[in-house]
Amino acid sequence: MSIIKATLRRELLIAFRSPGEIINPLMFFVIAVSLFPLGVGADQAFLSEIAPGVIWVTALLAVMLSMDSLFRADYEDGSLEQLLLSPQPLYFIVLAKVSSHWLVSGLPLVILAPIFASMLALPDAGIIPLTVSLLIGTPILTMLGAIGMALTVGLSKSGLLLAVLILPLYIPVLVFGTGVVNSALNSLGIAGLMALLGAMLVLALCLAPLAIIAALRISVSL
Amino acid sequence: MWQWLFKLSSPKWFYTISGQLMPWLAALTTLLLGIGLVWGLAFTPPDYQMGENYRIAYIHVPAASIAMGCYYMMACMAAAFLIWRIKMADMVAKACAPVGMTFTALALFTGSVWGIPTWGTWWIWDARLTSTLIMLFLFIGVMALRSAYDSEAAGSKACAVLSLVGVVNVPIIKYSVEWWNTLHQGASSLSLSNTSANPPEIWLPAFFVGFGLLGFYLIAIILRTRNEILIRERRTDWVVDILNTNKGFS
Amino acid sequence: MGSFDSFGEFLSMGGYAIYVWSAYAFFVVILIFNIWQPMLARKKYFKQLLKREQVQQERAQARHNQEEMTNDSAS
Repeated sequence: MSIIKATLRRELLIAFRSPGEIINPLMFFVIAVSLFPLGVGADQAFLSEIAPGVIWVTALLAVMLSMDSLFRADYEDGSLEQLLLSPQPLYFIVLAKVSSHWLVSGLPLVILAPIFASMLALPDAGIIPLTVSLLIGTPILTMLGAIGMALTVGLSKSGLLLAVLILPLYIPVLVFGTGVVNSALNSLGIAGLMALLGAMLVLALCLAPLAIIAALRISVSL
Repeated sequence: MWQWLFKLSSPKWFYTISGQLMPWLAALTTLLLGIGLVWGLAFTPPDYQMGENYRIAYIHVPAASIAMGCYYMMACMAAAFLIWRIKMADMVAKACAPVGMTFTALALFTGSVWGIPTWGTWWIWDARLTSTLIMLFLFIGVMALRSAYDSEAAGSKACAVLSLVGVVNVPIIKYSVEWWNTLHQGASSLSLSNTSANPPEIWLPAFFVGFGLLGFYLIAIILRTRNEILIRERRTDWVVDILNTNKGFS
Repeated sequence: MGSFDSFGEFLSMGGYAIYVWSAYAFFVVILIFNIWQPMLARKKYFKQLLKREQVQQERAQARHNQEEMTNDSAS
Protein backbone atom coordinates (compact mmCIF):
# COMPACT_ATOMS: atom_id res chain seq x y z
CA MET A 1 0.00 0.00 0.00
CA SER A 2 2.97 2.29 0.52
CA ILE A 3 3.47 2.25 -3.24
CA ILE A 4 0.04 3.85 -3.69
CA LYS A 5 0.95 6.57 -1.24
CA ALA A 6 4.31 7.17 -2.87
CA THR A 7 2.86 7.33 -6.38
CA LEU A 8 0.07 9.63 -5.25
CA ARG A 9 2.53 11.95 -3.54
CA ARG A 10 4.82 12.03 -6.56
CA GLU A 11 2.02 12.70 -9.04
CA LEU A 12 0.40 15.39 -6.94
CA LEU A 13 3.75 17.07 -6.39
CA ILE A 14 4.40 17.12 -10.13
CA ALA A 15 0.92 18.44 -10.79
CA PHE A 16 1.20 21.28 -8.30
CA ARG A 17 4.57 22.31 -9.68
CA SER A 18 2.96 23.08 -13.04
CA PRO A 19 -0.42 24.54 -12.07
CA GLY A 20 -1.26 25.29 -15.69
CA GLU A 21 -2.18 21.68 -16.25
CA ILE A 22 -4.65 21.78 -13.38
CA ILE A 23 -6.14 25.11 -14.35
CA ASN A 24 -6.50 24.62 -18.10
CA PRO A 25 -9.22 21.91 -18.04
CA LEU A 26 -11.01 23.95 -15.43
CA MET A 27 -10.80 27.07 -17.59
CA PHE A 28 -12.07 25.09 -20.56
CA PHE A 29 -15.04 23.96 -18.50
CA VAL A 30 -15.82 27.45 -17.24
CA ILE A 31 -15.53 29.11 -20.65
CA ALA A 32 -17.35 26.39 -22.57
CA VAL A 33 -20.26 26.45 -20.12
CA SER A 34 -20.55 30.21 -20.42
CA LEU A 35 -20.63 29.94 -24.21
CA PHE A 36 -23.95 28.11 -24.09
CA PRO A 37 -26.16 30.98 -22.92
CA LEU A 38 -24.47 33.14 -25.56
CA GLY A 39 -25.29 30.56 -28.19
CA VAL A 40 -28.81 29.55 -27.27
CA GLY A 41 -30.11 32.72 -25.62
CA ALA A 42 -30.56 33.76 -22.02
CA ASP A 43 -34.09 32.45 -21.55
CA GLN A 44 -34.03 31.08 -17.98
CA ALA A 45 -36.63 28.38 -18.56
CA PHE A 46 -34.78 26.97 -21.57
CA LEU A 47 -31.41 27.20 -19.85
CA SER A 48 -32.66 25.32 -16.82
CA GLU A 49 -33.90 22.59 -19.12
CA ILE A 50 -30.57 22.09 -20.87
CA ALA A 51 -28.39 22.78 -17.81
CA PRO A 52 -27.78 19.13 -16.74
CA GLY A 53 -26.80 18.15 -20.26
CA VAL A 54 -24.59 21.19 -20.79
CA ILE A 55 -22.73 20.71 -17.50
CA TRP A 56 -22.30 16.98 -18.08
CA VAL A 57 -21.17 17.21 -21.70
CA THR A 58 -18.75 20.03 -20.93
CA ALA A 59 -17.33 18.20 -17.91
CA LEU A 60 -16.94 15.09 -20.07
CA LEU A 61 -15.03 17.03 -22.73
CA ALA A 62 -12.89 18.76 -20.11
CA VAL A 63 -11.92 15.39 -18.60
CA MET A 64 -11.11 14.05 -22.04
CA LEU A 65 -8.98 17.06 -22.94
CA SER A 66 -7.11 16.84 -19.65
CA MET A 67 -6.07 13.23 -20.38
CA ASP A 68 -3.17 14.33 -22.53
CA SER A 69 -1.07 15.23 -19.49
CA LEU A 70 -1.63 11.82 -17.86
CA PHE A 71 1.05 9.70 -19.53
CA ARG A 72 2.59 12.08 -22.08
CA ALA A 73 5.42 13.52 -19.96
CA ASP A 74 6.25 10.14 -18.42
CA TYR A 75 6.34 8.58 -21.86
CA GLU A 76 8.64 11.24 -23.25
CA ASP A 77 11.19 11.19 -20.43
CA GLY A 78 11.23 7.40 -20.19
CA SER A 79 9.89 7.10 -16.65
CA LEU A 80 6.89 5.19 -17.99
CA GLU A 81 9.23 2.40 -19.03
CA GLN A 82 10.80 2.39 -15.58
CA LEU A 83 7.35 2.25 -14.07
CA LEU A 84 6.39 -0.80 -16.12
CA LEU A 85 9.63 -2.53 -15.18
CA SER A 86 9.27 -1.86 -11.47
CA PRO A 87 8.77 -4.89 -9.19
CA GLN A 88 5.83 -3.24 -7.43
CA PRO A 89 2.28 -4.31 -8.32
CA LEU A 90 1.53 -2.36 -11.48
CA TYR A 91 -2.19 -2.48 -10.91
CA PHE A 92 -1.93 -0.27 -7.83
CA ILE A 93 0.63 2.07 -9.37
CA VAL A 94 -1.64 2.70 -12.33
CA LEU A 95 -4.65 3.06 -10.08
CA ALA A 96 -2.80 5.62 -7.95
CA LYS A 97 -1.59 7.48 -11.02
CA VAL A 98 -5.05 7.75 -12.54
CA SER A 99 -6.61 8.63 -9.17
CA SER A 100 -4.16 11.45 -8.64
CA HIS A 101 -4.97 12.71 -12.11
CA TRP A 102 -8.62 12.73 -11.20
CA LEU A 103 -7.86 14.58 -7.96
CA VAL A 104 -6.29 17.45 -9.88
CA SER A 105 -8.48 17.48 -13.01
CA GLY A 106 -11.83 15.92 -12.11
CA LEU A 107 -12.40 16.96 -8.52
CA PRO A 108 -12.07 20.73 -9.20
CA LEU A 109 -14.72 20.36 -11.91
CA VAL A 110 -17.06 18.65 -9.46
CA ILE A 111 -16.50 21.47 -6.95
CA LEU A 112 -17.11 24.21 -9.52
CA ALA A 113 -20.09 22.52 -11.19
CA PRO A 114 -22.78 23.63 -8.68
CA ILE A 115 -21.87 27.30 -9.21
CA PHE A 116 -22.18 27.04 -12.96
CA ALA A 117 -25.27 24.90 -12.74
CA SER A 118 -27.07 27.59 -10.81
CA MET A 119 -25.77 30.19 -13.27
CA LEU A 120 -27.54 28.12 -15.91
CA ALA A 121 -30.70 28.36 -13.78
CA LEU A 122 -30.73 24.72 -12.74
CA PRO A 123 -33.41 24.44 -10.02
CA ASP A 124 -32.08 23.90 -6.49
CA ALA A 125 -33.48 20.37 -6.38
CA GLY A 126 -31.02 19.39 -9.12
CA ILE A 127 -27.83 20.90 -7.70
CA ILE A 128 -26.90 18.21 -5.20
CA PRO A 129 -27.81 15.27 -7.48
CA LEU A 130 -25.73 16.89 -10.23
CA THR A 131 -22.74 17.29 -7.96
CA VAL A 132 -22.98 13.76 -6.58
CA SER A 133 -23.46 12.26 -10.04
CA LEU A 134 -20.37 14.15 -11.26
CA LEU A 135 -18.48 12.99 -8.19
CA ILE A 136 -19.21 9.36 -9.06
CA GLY A 137 -19.15 9.82 -12.82
CA THR A 138 -15.96 11.78 -13.50
CA PRO A 139 -13.66 9.06 -12.06
CA ILE A 140 -15.21 6.63 -14.56
CA LEU A 141 -14.51 9.13 -17.33
CA THR A 142 -10.92 9.48 -16.15
CA MET A 143 -10.49 5.68 -16.03
CA LEU A 144 -11.85 5.18 -19.55
CA GLY A 145 -9.92 8.16 -20.85
CA ALA A 146 -6.74 6.70 -19.38
CA ILE A 147 -7.26 3.55 -21.46
CA GLY A 148 -7.56 5.63 -24.61
CA MET A 149 -4.59 7.75 -23.62
CA ALA A 150 -2.46 4.68 -22.87
CA LEU A 151 -3.30 3.33 -26.33
CA THR A 152 -2.35 6.54 -28.12
CA VAL A 153 0.50 7.93 -26.01
CA GLY A 154 3.13 6.52 -28.35
CA LEU A 155 1.56 8.06 -31.44
CA SER A 156 2.58 11.47 -32.69
CA LYS A 157 -0.92 12.46 -33.89
CA SER A 158 -3.09 11.32 -31.02
CA GLY A 159 -5.22 14.36 -30.17
CA LEU A 160 -8.39 13.74 -32.15
CA LEU A 161 -7.87 9.99 -32.28
CA LEU A 162 -8.35 9.89 -28.50
CA ALA A 163 -11.75 11.55 -28.92
CA VAL A 164 -12.82 9.06 -31.59
CA LEU A 165 -11.78 6.14 -29.39
CA ILE A 166 -13.25 7.08 -26.05
CA LEU A 167 -16.23 9.37 -26.64
CA PRO A 168 -18.46 6.42 -27.63
CA LEU A 169 -17.43 4.68 -24.40
CA TYR A 170 -18.46 7.76 -22.40
CA ILE A 171 -22.10 7.48 -23.48
CA PRO A 172 -23.44 5.34 -20.59
CA VAL A 173 -21.88 7.66 -18.00
CA LEU A 174 -23.42 10.66 -19.72
CA VAL A 175 -26.82 9.00 -19.98
CA PHE A 176 -27.00 7.94 -16.34
CA GLY A 177 -25.33 11.11 -15.07
CA THR A 178 -27.86 13.42 -16.70
CA GLY A 179 -30.54 10.86 -15.88
CA VAL A 180 -29.87 11.31 -12.17
CA VAL A 181 -30.37 15.07 -12.43
CA ASN A 182 -33.47 14.86 -14.60
CA SER A 183 -35.03 12.25 -12.32
CA ALA A 184 -34.34 14.46 -9.32
CA LEU A 185 -35.95 17.44 -11.08
CA ASN A 186 -39.03 15.36 -11.86
CA SER A 187 -39.04 14.17 -8.23
CA LEU A 188 -38.44 10.55 -9.23
CA GLY A 189 -36.20 8.26 -7.24
CA ILE A 190 -32.51 8.59 -8.01
CA ALA A 191 -31.12 5.83 -5.80
CA GLY A 192 -31.28 3.23 -8.58
CA LEU A 193 -29.41 5.39 -11.09
CA MET A 194 -26.84 6.37 -8.49
CA ALA A 195 -26.34 2.67 -7.76
CA LEU A 196 -25.83 2.02 -11.49
CA LEU A 197 -23.26 4.79 -11.69
CA GLY A 198 -21.59 3.37 -8.61
CA ALA A 199 -21.55 -0.10 -10.14
CA MET A 200 -19.94 1.34 -13.27
CA LEU A 201 -17.33 3.06 -11.11
CA VAL A 202 -16.51 -0.21 -9.33
CA LEU A 203 -16.31 -2.03 -12.67
CA ALA A 204 -14.04 0.67 -14.07
CA LEU A 205 -11.81 0.60 -10.99
CA CYS A 206 -11.47 -3.20 -11.26
CA LEU A 207 -11.01 -3.65 -14.99
CA ALA A 208 -9.71 -0.38 -16.44
CA PRO A 209 -6.23 -0.62 -14.81
CA LEU A 210 -5.75 -4.00 -16.48
CA ALA A 211 -6.54 -2.50 -19.89
CA ILE A 212 -4.35 0.52 -19.13
CA ILE A 213 -1.40 -1.72 -18.22
CA ALA A 214 -1.82 -3.78 -21.39
CA ALA A 215 -2.08 -0.62 -23.49
CA LEU A 216 0.95 1.00 -21.85
CA ARG A 217 3.03 -2.13 -22.53
CA ILE A 218 2.13 -1.82 -26.23
CA SER A 219 2.91 1.90 -26.34
CA VAL A 220 6.24 1.51 -24.57
CA SER A 221 7.34 -1.26 -26.94
CA LEU A 222 6.92 1.03 -29.97
CA MET B 1 -13.76 -30.36 -34.62
CA TRP B 2 -11.05 -29.01 -32.33
CA GLN B 3 -8.38 -30.24 -34.64
CA TRP B 4 -10.11 -28.50 -37.52
CA LEU B 5 -10.22 -25.25 -35.59
CA PHE B 6 -6.62 -25.70 -34.62
CA LYS B 7 -5.69 -26.17 -38.26
CA LEU B 8 -7.53 -22.97 -39.16
CA SER B 9 -5.22 -21.04 -36.85
CA SER B 10 -2.36 -21.75 -39.21
CA PRO B 11 -2.32 -19.24 -42.06
CA LYS B 12 -1.43 -21.88 -44.62
CA TRP B 13 -4.32 -24.12 -43.64
CA PHE B 14 -6.71 -21.21 -43.43
CA TYR B 15 -5.72 -20.15 -46.93
CA THR B 16 -6.11 -23.66 -48.34
CA ILE B 17 -9.33 -24.55 -46.55
CA SER B 18 -10.97 -21.18 -47.26
CA GLY B 19 -9.94 -21.49 -50.90
CA GLN B 20 -11.63 -24.88 -51.16
CA LEU B 21 -14.67 -23.72 -49.23
CA MET B 22 -15.18 -20.53 -51.20
CA PRO B 23 -17.02 -21.87 -54.30
CA TRP B 24 -19.48 -23.81 -52.13
CA LEU B 25 -20.02 -20.88 -49.82
CA ALA B 26 -20.52 -18.54 -52.79
CA ALA B 27 -23.03 -20.89 -54.41
CA LEU B 28 -24.96 -21.39 -51.18
CA THR B 29 -24.98 -17.66 -50.49
CA THR B 30 -26.23 -16.81 -53.97
CA LEU B 31 -28.95 -19.44 -53.68
CA LEU B 32 -30.14 -18.34 -50.24
CA LEU B 33 -30.00 -14.63 -51.04
CA GLY B 34 -31.71 -15.20 -54.39
CA ILE B 35 -34.57 -17.19 -52.91
CA GLY B 36 -34.95 -14.89 -49.92
CA LEU B 37 -34.87 -11.63 -51.86
CA VAL B 38 -37.24 -12.70 -54.62
CA TRP B 39 -39.60 -14.23 -52.11
CA GLY B 40 -39.44 -11.27 -49.77
CA LEU B 41 -39.74 -8.66 -52.50
CA ALA B 42 -42.39 -10.18 -54.70
CA PHE B 43 -44.26 -13.05 -53.10
CA THR B 44 -45.06 -12.18 -49.51
CA PRO B 45 -48.35 -10.34 -48.94
CA PRO B 46 -48.12 -6.65 -47.97
CA ASP B 47 -48.26 -5.73 -44.29
CA TYR B 48 -51.68 -4.45 -43.22
CA GLN B 49 -50.10 -1.46 -41.43
CA MET B 50 -46.95 -0.59 -43.30
CA GLY B 51 -47.93 -1.72 -46.80
CA GLU B 52 -45.05 -2.69 -49.05
CA ASN B 53 -42.56 -0.62 -47.09
CA TYR B 54 -41.99 -3.43 -44.58
CA ARG B 55 -40.05 -5.31 -47.29
CA ILE B 56 -37.03 -3.24 -46.22
CA ALA B 57 -37.02 -5.25 -43.00
CA TYR B 58 -35.86 -8.33 -44.94
CA ILE B 59 -32.44 -6.73 -45.39
CA HIS B 60 -32.46 -4.40 -42.40
CA VAL B 61 -32.90 -6.97 -39.64
CA PRO B 62 -30.24 -9.46 -40.87
CA ALA B 63 -27.78 -6.62 -41.55
CA ALA B 64 -28.23 -5.23 -38.05
CA SER B 65 -27.84 -8.58 -36.31
CA ILE B 66 -24.80 -9.54 -38.39
CA ALA B 67 -23.19 -6.16 -37.69
CA MET B 68 -23.67 -6.76 -33.99
CA GLY B 69 -22.36 -10.32 -34.25
CA CYS B 70 -19.39 -8.96 -36.16
CA TYR B 71 -18.43 -6.81 -33.20
CA TYR B 72 -18.53 -9.80 -30.87
CA MET B 73 -16.56 -11.86 -33.37
CA MET B 74 -13.93 -9.12 -33.57
CA ALA B 75 -13.69 -9.10 -29.77
CA CYS B 76 -13.39 -12.92 -29.60
CA MET B 77 -10.63 -12.80 -32.18
CA ALA B 78 -8.96 -10.01 -30.22
CA ALA B 79 -9.08 -12.16 -27.07
CA ALA B 80 -7.69 -15.18 -28.93
CA PHE B 81 -4.91 -12.99 -30.29
CA LEU B 82 -4.01 -11.51 -26.90
CA ILE B 83 -4.25 -14.76 -24.94
CA TRP B 84 -2.85 -17.38 -27.31
CA ARG B 85 -0.95 -15.06 -29.68
CA ILE B 86 -2.74 -16.59 -32.69
CA LYS B 87 -1.70 -14.50 -35.68
CA MET B 88 -4.68 -15.72 -37.69
CA ALA B 89 -7.08 -14.35 -35.08
CA ASP B 90 -5.68 -10.87 -35.54
CA MET B 91 -5.94 -11.10 -39.31
CA VAL B 92 -9.62 -12.05 -38.99
CA ALA B 93 -10.14 -9.25 -36.45
CA LYS B 94 -8.60 -6.79 -38.88
CA ALA B 95 -11.02 -7.98 -41.58
CA CYS B 96 -13.98 -7.68 -39.19
CA ALA B 97 -13.71 -3.92 -38.70
CA PRO B 98 -14.39 -2.69 -42.26
CA VAL B 99 -16.94 -5.41 -42.97
CA GLY B 100 -18.76 -4.73 -39.72
CA MET B 101 -18.69 -1.03 -40.46
CA THR B 102 -20.33 -1.46 -43.86
CA PHE B 103 -22.99 -3.77 -42.39
CA THR B 104 -23.70 -1.23 -39.64
CA ALA B 105 -23.96 1.50 -42.25
CA LEU B 106 -26.35 -0.71 -44.22
CA ALA B 107 -28.50 -1.30 -41.14
CA LEU B 108 -28.58 2.44 -40.40
CA PHE B 109 -29.39 3.42 -43.96
CA THR B 110 -32.17 0.89 -44.42
CA GLY B 111 -33.57 1.74 -40.99
CA SER B 112 -33.62 5.45 -41.82
CA VAL B 113 -35.24 4.89 -45.21
CA TRP B 114 -37.83 2.64 -43.60
CA GLY B 115 -38.46 5.37 -41.03
CA ILE B 116 -39.32 8.13 -43.52
CA PRO B 117 -42.83 6.87 -44.36
CA THR B 118 -43.30 5.06 -41.04
CA TRP B 119 -42.20 7.69 -38.53
CA GLY B 120 -42.36 10.68 -40.87
CA THR B 121 -38.65 11.40 -40.39
CA TRP B 122 -35.49 9.66 -41.46
CA TRP B 123 -33.89 9.86 -38.06
CA ILE B 124 -35.33 9.58 -34.60
CA TRP B 125 -33.33 9.01 -31.44
CA ASP B 126 -34.78 5.57 -31.08
CA ALA B 127 -32.89 3.18 -28.82
CA ARG B 128 -32.04 0.79 -31.63
CA LEU B 129 -30.97 3.49 -34.07
CA THR B 130 -28.90 5.23 -31.44
CA SER B 131 -27.07 2.13 -30.26
CA THR B 132 -26.43 1.11 -33.86
CA LEU B 133 -24.97 4.56 -34.50
CA ILE B 134 -22.70 4.11 -31.48
CA MET B 135 -21.61 0.72 -32.82
CA LEU B 136 -20.64 2.46 -36.06
CA PHE B 137 -18.49 4.83 -34.00
CA LEU B 138 -16.86 1.88 -32.24
CA PHE B 139 -15.96 0.23 -35.55
CA ILE B 140 -14.59 3.52 -36.86
CA GLY B 141 -12.55 3.93 -33.68
CA VAL B 142 -10.91 0.53 -34.08
CA MET B 143 -10.09 1.24 -37.72
CA ALA B 144 -8.72 4.69 -36.89
CA LEU B 145 -6.51 3.26 -34.15
CA ARG B 146 -5.09 0.57 -36.44
CA SER B 147 -4.31 3.03 -39.19
CA ALA B 148 -2.63 5.41 -36.70
CA TYR B 149 -0.02 2.81 -35.79
CA ASP B 150 2.91 2.44 -38.15
CA SER B 151 3.96 -0.85 -36.60
CA GLU B 152 1.70 -3.72 -37.60
CA ALA B 153 2.36 -5.74 -34.43
CA ALA B 154 1.73 -2.86 -32.03
CA GLY B 155 -1.36 -1.74 -33.92
CA SER B 156 -2.78 -5.26 -33.74
CA LYS B 157 -2.34 -5.47 -29.99
CA ALA B 158 -3.72 -1.96 -29.44
CA CYS B 159 -6.80 -2.77 -31.52
CA ALA B 160 -7.26 -6.01 -29.58
CA VAL B 161 -7.24 -4.12 -26.27
CA LEU B 162 -9.66 -1.53 -27.63
CA SER B 163 -12.00 -4.20 -29.00
CA LEU B 164 -12.10 -5.93 -25.62
CA VAL B 165 -12.73 -2.67 -23.78
CA GLY B 166 -15.47 -1.97 -26.31
CA VAL B 167 -17.14 -5.34 -25.90
CA VAL B 168 -17.39 -4.89 -22.13
CA ASN B 169 -19.06 -1.58 -22.89
CA VAL B 170 -21.46 -2.71 -25.61
CA PRO B 171 -24.08 -4.22 -23.24
CA ILE B 172 -23.78 -1.22 -20.90
CA ILE B 173 -24.19 1.20 -23.81
CA LYS B 174 -27.17 -0.75 -25.11
CA TYR B 175 -28.82 -0.84 -21.71
CA SER B 176 -28.17 2.84 -21.04
CA VAL B 177 -29.49 3.90 -24.43
CA GLU B 178 -32.63 1.82 -23.97
CA TRP B 179 -33.22 3.30 -20.53
CA TRP B 180 -32.54 6.80 -21.87
CA ASN B 181 -34.98 6.23 -24.70
CA THR B 182 -37.83 5.16 -22.43
CA LEU B 183 -37.16 8.19 -20.25
CA HIS B 184 -37.32 10.68 -23.09
CA GLN B 185 -40.00 9.15 -25.29
CA GLY B 186 -42.22 6.13 -25.32
CA ALA B 187 -40.70 3.10 -27.00
CA SER B 188 -41.70 3.11 -30.64
CA SER B 189 -44.73 0.92 -31.09
CA LEU B 190 -43.98 0.51 -34.79
CA SER B 191 -40.68 -1.20 -34.24
CA LEU B 192 -39.25 -3.55 -36.82
CA SER B 193 -38.97 -6.17 -34.10
CA ASN B 194 -42.73 -6.40 -33.90
CA THR B 195 -42.70 -8.63 -36.98
CA SER B 196 -42.63 -11.61 -34.61
CA ALA B 197 -46.40 -11.39 -34.43
CA ASN B 198 -46.65 -12.07 -38.15
CA PRO B 199 -47.44 -15.42 -39.85
CA PRO B 200 -44.58 -17.63 -41.12
CA GLU B 201 -44.95 -16.66 -44.78
CA ILE B 202 -43.96 -13.15 -43.71
CA TRP B 203 -40.87 -13.98 -41.70
CA LEU B 204 -39.66 -17.13 -43.48
CA PRO B 205 -37.99 -15.17 -46.33
CA ALA B 206 -36.09 -13.26 -43.64
CA PHE B 207 -34.44 -16.53 -42.63
CA PHE B 208 -33.27 -17.12 -46.19
CA VAL B 209 -31.93 -13.58 -46.49
CA GLY B 210 -30.44 -13.84 -43.00
CA PHE B 211 -28.49 -17.01 -43.68
CA GLY B 212 -27.60 -15.78 -47.14
CA LEU B 213 -26.23 -12.56 -45.70
CA LEU B 214 -24.36 -14.56 -43.07
CA GLY B 215 -22.74 -16.52 -45.88
CA PHE B 216 -21.92 -13.29 -47.64
CA TYR B 217 -20.43 -11.91 -44.45
CA LEU B 218 -18.17 -14.96 -44.15
CA ILE B 219 -17.10 -14.54 -47.78
CA ALA B 220 -16.26 -10.88 -47.21
CA ILE B 221 -14.24 -11.74 -44.09
CA ILE B 222 -12.44 -14.60 -45.85
CA LEU B 223 -11.53 -12.46 -48.88
CA ARG B 224 -9.94 -9.80 -46.70
CA THR B 225 -8.25 -12.33 -44.46
CA ARG B 226 -6.74 -14.13 -47.45
CA ASN B 227 -5.27 -10.85 -48.71
CA GLU B 228 -3.86 -10.21 -45.26
CA ILE B 229 -2.27 -13.67 -45.19
CA LEU B 230 -0.58 -13.05 -48.53
CA ILE B 231 0.79 -9.75 -47.27
CA ARG B 232 1.96 -10.82 -43.82
CA GLU B 233 3.30 -14.24 -44.80
CA ARG B 234 4.91 -13.06 -48.02
CA ARG B 235 8.31 -14.40 -46.96
CA THR B 236 7.17 -17.97 -46.38
CA ASP B 237 7.81 -20.50 -49.14
CA TRP B 238 4.20 -21.47 -49.75
CA VAL B 239 3.11 -17.83 -50.16
CA VAL B 240 6.05 -17.12 -52.47
CA ASP B 241 4.82 -20.03 -54.62
CA ILE B 242 1.29 -18.60 -54.74
CA LEU B 243 2.60 -15.13 -55.51
CA ASN B 244 4.82 -16.43 -58.31
CA THR B 245 1.99 -18.31 -59.99
CA ASN B 246 -0.45 -15.42 -59.65
CA LYS B 247 1.30 -12.17 -60.34
CA GLY B 248 1.91 -12.84 -63.98
CA PHE B 249 -1.69 -12.84 -65.14
CA SER B 250 -3.53 -10.64 -62.71
CA MET C 1 -46.25 -12.31 -60.02
CA GLY C 2 -46.71 -13.22 -56.38
CA SER C 3 -48.57 -10.67 -54.39
CA PHE C 4 -48.41 -8.08 -57.19
CA ASP C 5 -50.77 -7.95 -60.16
CA SER C 6 -48.29 -6.58 -62.67
CA PHE C 7 -44.62 -5.82 -63.02
CA GLY C 8 -45.39 -2.11 -62.94
CA GLU C 9 -47.10 -2.54 -59.61
CA PHE C 10 -44.11 -4.49 -58.35
CA LEU C 11 -41.85 -1.58 -59.30
CA SER C 12 -44.10 0.98 -57.66
CA MET C 13 -44.20 -1.02 -54.37
CA GLY C 14 -47.57 0.38 -53.43
CA GLY C 15 -46.21 3.93 -53.45
CA TYR C 16 -43.15 3.04 -51.38
CA ALA C 17 -40.93 2.54 -54.44
CA ILE C 18 -38.34 5.18 -53.56
CA TYR C 19 -37.88 3.83 -50.01
CA VAL C 20 -37.85 0.12 -50.81
CA TRP C 21 -35.70 0.41 -53.93
CA SER C 22 -33.20 2.84 -52.44
CA ALA C 23 -32.76 0.52 -49.45
CA TYR C 24 -32.22 -2.45 -51.75
CA ALA C 25 -29.92 -0.41 -53.98
CA PHE C 26 -27.75 0.49 -51.00
CA PHE C 27 -27.81 -3.17 -50.00
CA VAL C 28 -26.44 -4.14 -53.43
CA VAL C 29 -23.83 -1.37 -53.23
CA ILE C 30 -22.61 -2.70 -49.87
CA LEU C 31 -22.48 -6.26 -51.22
CA ILE C 32 -20.53 -5.22 -54.29
CA PHE C 33 -18.17 -3.05 -52.25
CA ASN C 34 -17.35 -5.90 -49.89
CA ILE C 35 -16.39 -8.18 -52.77
CA TRP C 36 -14.84 -5.61 -55.10
CA GLN C 37 -12.60 -3.90 -52.56
CA PRO C 38 -10.66 -7.00 -51.39
CA MET C 39 -10.43 -8.21 -55.00
CA LEU C 40 -8.99 -4.86 -56.05
CA ALA C 41 -6.58 -4.89 -53.12
CA ARG C 42 -5.40 -8.35 -54.14
CA LYS C 43 -4.83 -7.25 -57.73
CA LYS C 44 -2.99 -4.12 -56.60
CA TYR C 45 -0.80 -6.19 -54.31
CA PHE C 46 0.15 -8.59 -57.09
CA LYS C 47 0.87 -5.68 -59.42
CA GLN C 48 3.01 -4.04 -56.77
CA LEU C 49 5.02 -7.24 -56.29
CA LEU C 50 5.50 -7.56 -60.04
CA LYS C 51 6.70 -3.97 -60.26
CA ARG C 52 9.07 -4.45 -57.33
CA GLU C 53 10.54 -7.50 -59.00
CA GLN C 54 10.96 -5.64 -62.30
CA VAL C 55 12.72 -2.77 -60.55
CA GLN C 56 15.01 -5.24 -58.82
CA GLN C 57 15.78 -6.95 -62.10
CA GLU C 58 16.48 -3.63 -63.79
CA ARG C 59 18.79 -2.64 -60.96
CA ALA C 60 20.61 -5.94 -61.15
CA GLN C 61 20.93 -5.50 -64.90
CA ALA C 62 22.25 -1.96 -64.47
CA ARG C 63 24.73 -3.09 -61.85
CA HIS C 64 25.83 -5.87 -64.14
CA ASN C 65 26.30 -3.48 -67.07
CA GLN C 66 28.26 -1.06 -64.92
CA GLU C 67 30.54 -3.84 -63.71
CA GLU C 68 31.19 -4.86 -67.28
CA MET C 69 31.98 -1.28 -68.23
CA THR C 70 34.44 -0.84 -65.37
CA ASN C 71 36.01 -4.16 -66.27
CA ASP C 72 36.34 -3.03 -69.91
CA SER C 73 37.92 0.28 -69.00
CA ALA C 74 40.25 -1.43 -66.53
CA SER C 75 41.54 -3.80 -69.14
